[in-house]
Amino acid sequence: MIEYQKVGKTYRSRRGEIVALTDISFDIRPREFVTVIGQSGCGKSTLLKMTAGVVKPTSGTIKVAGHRIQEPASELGMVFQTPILLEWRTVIDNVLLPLEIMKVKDRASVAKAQELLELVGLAGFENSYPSELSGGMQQRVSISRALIIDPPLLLMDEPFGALDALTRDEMSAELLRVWNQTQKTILFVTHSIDEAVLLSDRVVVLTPRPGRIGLIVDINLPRPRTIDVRYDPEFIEYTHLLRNTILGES
Amino acid sequence: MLILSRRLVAPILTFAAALLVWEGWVRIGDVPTFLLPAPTEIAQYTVGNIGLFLPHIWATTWATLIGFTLSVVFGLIIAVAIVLSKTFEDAIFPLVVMTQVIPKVALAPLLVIYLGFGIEPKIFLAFLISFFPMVINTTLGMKSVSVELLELLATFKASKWQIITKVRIYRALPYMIEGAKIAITLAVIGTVVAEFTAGSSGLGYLTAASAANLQTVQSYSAIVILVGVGILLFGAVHIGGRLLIPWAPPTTLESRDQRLT
Repeated sequence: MIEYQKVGKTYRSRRGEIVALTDISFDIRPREFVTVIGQSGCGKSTLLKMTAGVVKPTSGTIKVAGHRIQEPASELGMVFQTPILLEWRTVIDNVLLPLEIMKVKDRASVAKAQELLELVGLAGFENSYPSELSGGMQQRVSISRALIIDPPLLLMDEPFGALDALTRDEMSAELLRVWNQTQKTILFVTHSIDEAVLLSDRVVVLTPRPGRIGLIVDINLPRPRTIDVRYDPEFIEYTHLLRNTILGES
Repeated sequence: MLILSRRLVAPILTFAAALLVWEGWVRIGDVPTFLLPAPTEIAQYTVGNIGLFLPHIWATTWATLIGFTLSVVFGLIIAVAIVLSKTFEDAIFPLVVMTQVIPKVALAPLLVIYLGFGIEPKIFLAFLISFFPMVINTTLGMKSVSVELLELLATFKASKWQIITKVRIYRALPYMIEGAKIAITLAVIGTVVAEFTAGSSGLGYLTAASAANLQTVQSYSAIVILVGVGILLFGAVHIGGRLLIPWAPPTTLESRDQRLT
């Protein structure tokens, strides 16, 4: 689904060159849930933005579904840390925005948007304005918006980072359910180790300065998973392993 | 509610007290009417001669509204052009600022030469004095779009024009409304200044002409009406603005005010 081949990114600033990422090579299989984890500034968001084509790599290539990414790609859905909804549009109009801009909105679109809102548990809020919703609900809207074009790939950049711990758990469970039902490939970025282990098939640990792959871990916990998998000894082992890698201890 | 009424009562009482002092001073001191008419006299005159004032009220309001509307449209056009082209922004912004530093009052007599004594110099001056806040605010509003939102729109392959019509204009609306509140009061000033020198009608003209003829009461009446017109126009923009953005939670400024009290 996605192939990273020796991908690197160097930013130029006044104080010289900053190597954000170097020598990133790995593949993501279709319908896989892969999480990139690392400390702030390790380049994980950059990696995601390069996958979306909104930031260009300075070296190497990224291929999505066999095509090299050279410009913003439209065959994917993006979810950011903040929901970035348009405050003047109702919930359903926010979900329909991508179709409107791509000029593919038709009669079936509204029904599809409604279905997606139902999927994320927002039935009945179609005509609310974003300001009337809680943070978690707003993020659900932005997930629906990402899914409306039915992209094979979802890119999520710390989507639950701005939510409180309880809402976070709820949203993780929700995402697992949505992923299960929609069969998407998901590339997820977080700095929460628990979240990474709970959600993913594989976790890619980036170590900072310069950002490079420290470790790739297969999470072999049975699916479907619930929040309770956290108390599983195996889960705890994974989190230990990840924490030590991230903090650079052996 | 209690806070609100106290907030209203205090200024009303202060204002009433000031009027009372004025009234008392004129009566006790036996100040001649042509020097300083008493508030009651002004009120009486205003009500009694409202027929005389009506065409002037209309003249001033009309010129102000046209000048103001031009400002809003012009502000929008400039802001769109600025968002579309950085070069245009660099080229136009110093000029926009320059027009703002010209003392508009000094310009008024010159306008007679080019635009005569009709409505044109009023519209022009109302526009000239009020477009600045519109340009500044509309541009600021159009630019307040986050990098993430632009990236998201890029993945939808949104064109620059789509980003303007579907996102930037709406983002700019609250900013434009705040700008319009400043612009409308400035537009009234612009119209009145033009009426002083280049007018043959309007409340500004009436104020100046009456004073010149020592019809002091009439001059004061015209000023009082002018204040009323200004307040009404401001109120109309305020309410109109509210209706334009139904998505906004009870407006930010007011709710913040109430929290602070």
